[in-house]
Amino acid sequence: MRTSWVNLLAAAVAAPMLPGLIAKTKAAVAGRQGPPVLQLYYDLIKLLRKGAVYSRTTTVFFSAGPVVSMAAILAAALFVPLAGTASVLSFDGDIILFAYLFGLARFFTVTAALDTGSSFEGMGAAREATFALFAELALFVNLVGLAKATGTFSLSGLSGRAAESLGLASPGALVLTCLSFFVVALAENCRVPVDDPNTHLELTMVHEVMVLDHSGPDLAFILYGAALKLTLTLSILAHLLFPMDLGSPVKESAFFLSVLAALSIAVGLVESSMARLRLLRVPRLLMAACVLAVFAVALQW
Amino acid sequence: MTLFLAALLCLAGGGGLSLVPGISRRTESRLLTAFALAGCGAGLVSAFHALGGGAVPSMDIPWRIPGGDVSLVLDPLSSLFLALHFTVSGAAVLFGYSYFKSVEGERSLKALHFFFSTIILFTALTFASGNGILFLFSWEAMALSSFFLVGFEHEKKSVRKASYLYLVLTRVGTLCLFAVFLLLAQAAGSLQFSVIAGRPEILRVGSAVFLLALAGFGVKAGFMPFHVWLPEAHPAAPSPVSALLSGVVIKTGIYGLVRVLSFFPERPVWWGAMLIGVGIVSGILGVAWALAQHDFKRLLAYHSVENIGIIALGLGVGCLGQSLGFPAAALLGFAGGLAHVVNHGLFKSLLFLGAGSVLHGTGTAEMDRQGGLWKRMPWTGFAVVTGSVAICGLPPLNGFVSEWLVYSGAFRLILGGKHLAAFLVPPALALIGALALACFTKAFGIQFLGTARTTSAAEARESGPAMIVPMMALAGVCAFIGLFPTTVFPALIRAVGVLVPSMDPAVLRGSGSLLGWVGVSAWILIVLVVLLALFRRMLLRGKPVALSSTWACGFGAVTPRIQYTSSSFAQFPASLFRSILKPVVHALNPSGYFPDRAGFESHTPDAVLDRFIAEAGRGCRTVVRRARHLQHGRMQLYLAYGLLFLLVLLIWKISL
Amino acid sequence: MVGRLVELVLVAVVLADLFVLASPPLAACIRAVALQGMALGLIPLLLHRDGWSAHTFLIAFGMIALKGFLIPGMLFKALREAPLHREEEPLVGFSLSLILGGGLIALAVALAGKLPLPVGVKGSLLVPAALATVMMGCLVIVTRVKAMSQVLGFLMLENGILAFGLTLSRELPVLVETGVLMDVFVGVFIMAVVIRHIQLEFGSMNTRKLTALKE
Repeated sequence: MRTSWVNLLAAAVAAPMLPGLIAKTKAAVAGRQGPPVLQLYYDLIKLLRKGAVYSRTTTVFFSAGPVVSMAAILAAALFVPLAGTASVLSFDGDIILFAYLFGLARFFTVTAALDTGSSFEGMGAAREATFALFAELALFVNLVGLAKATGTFSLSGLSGRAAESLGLASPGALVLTCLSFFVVALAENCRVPVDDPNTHLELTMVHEVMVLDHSGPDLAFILYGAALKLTLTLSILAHLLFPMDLGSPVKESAFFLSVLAALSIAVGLVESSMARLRLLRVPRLLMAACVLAVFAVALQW
Repeated sequence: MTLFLAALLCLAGGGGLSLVPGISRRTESRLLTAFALAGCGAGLVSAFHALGGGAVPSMDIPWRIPGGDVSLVLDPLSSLFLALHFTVSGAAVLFGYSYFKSVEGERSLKALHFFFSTIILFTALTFASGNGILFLFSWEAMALSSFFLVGFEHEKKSVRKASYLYLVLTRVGTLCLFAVFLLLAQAAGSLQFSVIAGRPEILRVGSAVFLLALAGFGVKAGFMPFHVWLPEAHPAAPSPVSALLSGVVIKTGIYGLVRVLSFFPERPVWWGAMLIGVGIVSGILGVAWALAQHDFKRLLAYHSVENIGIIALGLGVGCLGQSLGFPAAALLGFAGGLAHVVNHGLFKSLLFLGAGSVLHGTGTAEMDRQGGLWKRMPWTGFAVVTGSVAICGLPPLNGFVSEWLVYSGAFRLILGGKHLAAFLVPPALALIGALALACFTKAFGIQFLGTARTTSAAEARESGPAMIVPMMALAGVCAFIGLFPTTVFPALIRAVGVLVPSMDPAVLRGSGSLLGWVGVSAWILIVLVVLLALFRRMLLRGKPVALSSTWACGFGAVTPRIQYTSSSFAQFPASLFRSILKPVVHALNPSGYFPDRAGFESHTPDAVLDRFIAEAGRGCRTVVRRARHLQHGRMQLYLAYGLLFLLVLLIWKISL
Repeated sequence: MVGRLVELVLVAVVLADLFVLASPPLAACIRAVALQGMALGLIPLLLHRDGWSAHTFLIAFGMIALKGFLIPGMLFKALREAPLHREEEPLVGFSLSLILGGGLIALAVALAGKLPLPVGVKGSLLVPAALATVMMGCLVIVTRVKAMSQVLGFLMLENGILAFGLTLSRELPVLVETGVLMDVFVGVFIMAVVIRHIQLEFGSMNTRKLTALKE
């Protein structure tokens, strides 16, 4: 129990490093030096110390968006296994809670975007809500397959046992599940090819355009929430890919951190090697993730 | 029991008083509200009493009608539905008190008052009756009352059309129910529910009874192919009536189905699978249609179809769990289905009352004519956003609790066996949930946030306390169930006990403690939100906080008309379902370097009503003509015929 | 271990099918089918790891060369002469074919469970993958308009049948295999000629134009 808390705290502190690592990878591929890995920390500290500017159109929902979504992601963090130790909280059916907490975060981000009355933010909101349809569907098909393979439906048990039980029974299913989950993770975290976090054209943005009007601590909450969400999804993926039960906590942590770093670099490589998909193609990509997940479930039949 | 009878008497008294000539309208509506509230209060107490455990109150008075018997039984299942019924009715009555003031002066409210009392009375009687004849009698009386209530604004053609559609469909449904009860009576030798229940003889007619009940009760509940009256009748009826219709009256269909299911000591596996299939179709298509609507009340009506689908999923998981021998899945599935009955009743009536309040404040239910209402009507906004979070099934409100139960039941089935239907439930629920989220962020955001699109929205006025109090009460119950799910669990279990007579106490304890964790998580979430909000306030203290205008890419002449509308918000997600929804789009695309006019308009008619039923007639005529199309001259088609034939042969050969 | 590697290769084979179903650019589809052929070529090597013979190598390399390089090369050549390099307006949309593909996979797994098969291949992925590939090949043939896509569909169909052959006997007679390979080769050859003729006649490789030949 205590190691769980320690791990959670460590993950919460280290979370802003992952986006930094992705940015560094992209810079390296492009032959640039790029911002330092710790850049997000500097940004967060700067933003937390700033005041804020609000649109006259907005209401309490605009400021509730960042607060509620970050709270939901923090609550979700309690259920995620880190570095081979079980999560802080765990019960049968917490996977549903986990997915729905992200849903709650999405609800409030979308309403905060609509609160500004800007059509750009409206567009972003509609796109976010649309992409979520198939991302959730694919996520739950994956969860069904994993639950069947591992015989449990708590997030800790499921991701802890997946690599062993599914990997032995059907490595193909494990590969498919991880592929599908990777696509879902990219979509959930608004990365290329679903969304480009670095885009600067309002018309083409998805997540970034929704938070266009946020500033100061609100923006810091959003940035930190996004980093934490990325960390959580990637650590679940890390647990799915490799059995984390290595015996000593030090070994486990080291291995876990290297897998996490490798996954961030993989995300960075994906971002460097392909462009953002056309908007109408994104649902097809997510549908493909669903089909992969269905394939994985069928393999276990 | 006495209390329940007193409740019925109060309701009858209120209805009767409204028929007395010579009373002024104001006294009449005051009297009615007082009587109905007293009735609902008494009924609520009696229902809670029966839900708390202990002996089942019942009453029997001989009746002259052959086979009939005035038999009232308040078993836990009935009491659960009655508790919901009296809560929602009380709120609707109180809300109606000031809502109907706006129509006062123009027309007599006598009919409205009378039928409002009778619908509450006969719905209660439907839930409490323990005899087939009495059930059908109160069922019909309830249906007639709702027909008159739907047709309240009968000077409008659309309202007349909606109420007739409702009448026709409910008659069709009742026809099936007559058959159901006749078959049961023939097999069991009595129409008394207590005699029918558990008789092994009725298994002989089981499948016919199940299918007829699914159709007959499905019409009332709004299962997908039979839902056509819902999106017409709910917007046509006055809002408190829609709240009652959607919150309770459609649940009588679910009640009837559950009651009939409870008669059977054992059920074939395909019943559960079929319920799940019906649930998936109703759930996904219901919410897909809702997404494409622009009228708030119509949107809510389609959402009732969706939620009825979720309830069917829960019941299906329960049935499947019981038939396949997984007691935990059965318990969780049934509990989830019944909990969703209660929860949907609460948040849907809350949303309909909110819609009524918006209609009252702005004069229209068209979402694209609203905007920025939060600043004018914060209480209504609070009610609508609470209902929205709850209906999306998000924590920490009650919708999550029931969806969680259904999910858990389905996952238990998946862990236990390999029945395909069970595997479909979680993905279907996830898709439904995500679609509902898109739908309600749209409904709430477009109406209440941003800036006012019309003057009526800019000058909206908040409703009076008599309308706000019932909404807040319903919102409070939603939050209570979400935050303390374990308090309602024992009552739920007692209701499930009617369907699953023997339950393993270990399974019960296990499910209860898991549900406890759901409640704890809700509290953790709340605490985190509060802490973060305080942290944010602390950070901003003493810092410059400025007001400015929304960033519009440097464009200065921003008008409210430039905002995203409900059509534009729903266009992208709905376009993914366009092959099913078939929206009618009128687009005037801008052309030239300096385009002057452009427009986009879409509306989505109901497929079953406008396409299926209307087309079915035409289809028969053209069927012969269609045969000619087999000969097409298209290479792919010929190949397809050959390959399809081979595939069919393969499947046939293998399944032999 | 061997079984697991084969399973991964077969997953790749089915993924190639899904890719063809979901993506419009024809060049990418040709590449996917080429990769699929090469993956299939690897399977004899993996299956008979205990005793590699010259025969196994011959088959494997023959398949890889033919399916991975020769036929795709011909198709690329045909593609270069065509004006449009994308599949357009298929009779069934790309997203829907993708969903149908998922359904076909499920169907294939279900059917494979019921087929009367020798015990050795019963639990393996070989039969479902072969069935799924055959069915998705048919789907492509039926729903796509461009003659090139149809050739790809035929190739997928062929690959599926070949995978079937791999399951059913441990040592396929060389004659049968060469027969199968020749079969495709001739088929592709004829299709290439046909594409060329359609191209010359109608100025496009859209088979929809063939409807004009009806009366």
